[in-house]
Amino acid sequence: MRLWLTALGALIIKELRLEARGKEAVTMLFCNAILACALVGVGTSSAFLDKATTTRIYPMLLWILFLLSASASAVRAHEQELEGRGLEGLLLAGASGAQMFLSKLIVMSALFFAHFLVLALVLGVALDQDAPPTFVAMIGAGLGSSTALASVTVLLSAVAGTSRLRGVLLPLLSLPLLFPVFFCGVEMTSQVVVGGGLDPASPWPLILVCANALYLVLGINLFEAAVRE
Amino acid sequence: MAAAEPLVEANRICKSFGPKRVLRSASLACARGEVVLLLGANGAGKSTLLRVMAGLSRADSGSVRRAPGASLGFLSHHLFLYSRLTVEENLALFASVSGAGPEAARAAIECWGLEAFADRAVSDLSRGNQARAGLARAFIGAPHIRLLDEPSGNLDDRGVEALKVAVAAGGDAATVLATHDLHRLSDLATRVVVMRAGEMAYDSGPATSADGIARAISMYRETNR
Repeated sequence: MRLWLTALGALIIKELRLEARGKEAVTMLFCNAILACALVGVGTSSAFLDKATTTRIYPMLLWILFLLSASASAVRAHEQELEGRGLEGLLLAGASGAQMFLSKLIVMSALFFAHFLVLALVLGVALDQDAPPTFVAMIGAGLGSSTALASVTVLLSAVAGTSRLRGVLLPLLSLPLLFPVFFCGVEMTSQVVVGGGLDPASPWPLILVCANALYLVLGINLFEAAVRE
Repeated sequence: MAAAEPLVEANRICKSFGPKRVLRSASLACARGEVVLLLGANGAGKSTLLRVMAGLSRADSGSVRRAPGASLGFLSHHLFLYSRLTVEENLALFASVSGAGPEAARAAIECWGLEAFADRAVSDLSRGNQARAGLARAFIGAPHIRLLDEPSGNLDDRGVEALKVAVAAGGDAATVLATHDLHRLSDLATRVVVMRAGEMAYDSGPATSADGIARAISMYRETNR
């Protein structure tokens, strides 16, 4: 077990180093986030929408921007694996699919969550929302969605990774799997922003937990096969 | 005398890429302590056979068997390294994953003469030093089976000497070397196998004498004229 965890730690450090050197996913995530928020802010102020309306559309815009930019950046993050065929080297060295998947999941989840926080804050400012109270309450939805999104995109990056159409394929393949995450995110954020807090009887947090569990099990079991194929 | 139990064995491997049949019932076994020189013209199927034996490519039919618990080192035209990481970071990663520990990474850097380049990204190295880094990765943790496809391709004479030392240091390991570099590597061989059009055309058999190896090599040269 200790050796397994040491190898997992080494793989996580590798993921962080690759991202620090290339900055591919980070650049794409945060540039997209800020640019999209600025455009949405300008667009809504030009449309003279009142605050009640912008409060209603804020959750939907937030989750559309988040899912689109995050799934697009996952393709860029996987490019580095293709350059020297490092994943195959790791398989040869004895790394398991679970180790490789979990290392990527942890790093991508952290990146996506940071991205979500920035996006929620900047979009909140652009749409003149009362950011601080809602921001804290949205953290749970953001964290749960980030891990589900990371599971789906990491697995599908390995599936679509060697195709020349991967830039198109990944968002297309991930879309059906991300629908539950999208609805959970929008519903939970709406409850917080419009209703002032999460409804204790709401089924959405449970659905998000189930989606996470399902994608985690799929990723751990299928990642190695996807890389080998 | 009974033949030694092979550490790795490919049995009747067939493999096609589209309409092109690359391997036609190719079989190769390599036992403990053997160094097999795998010869053949370009397109004979050597690289594909090694990829199948390494488990990186799936055969259409046939089977590959590895001795239980036997670790594998594989080198091909791809380095299987992260080009943006430094040599030291790459080797530390692969040492850690294979359970060899950080000392193995340092030892590999010394063994392959990479001390001066250890802190440079793999993408910034010359082809020769990239080849050394790739070999250092393949040999890290002293694997029981070494499958090396054109290992001397970009190596200078010092690199080839380091390769010979590393192969010889394996002792009980099973090594398959696919190469055209007979001039520099033939003295490593304990057995020679020649491939032609996806099939095994000649196998000198285990524990071949120097004469037997010379005969096999001259036969390979004859067929490639």
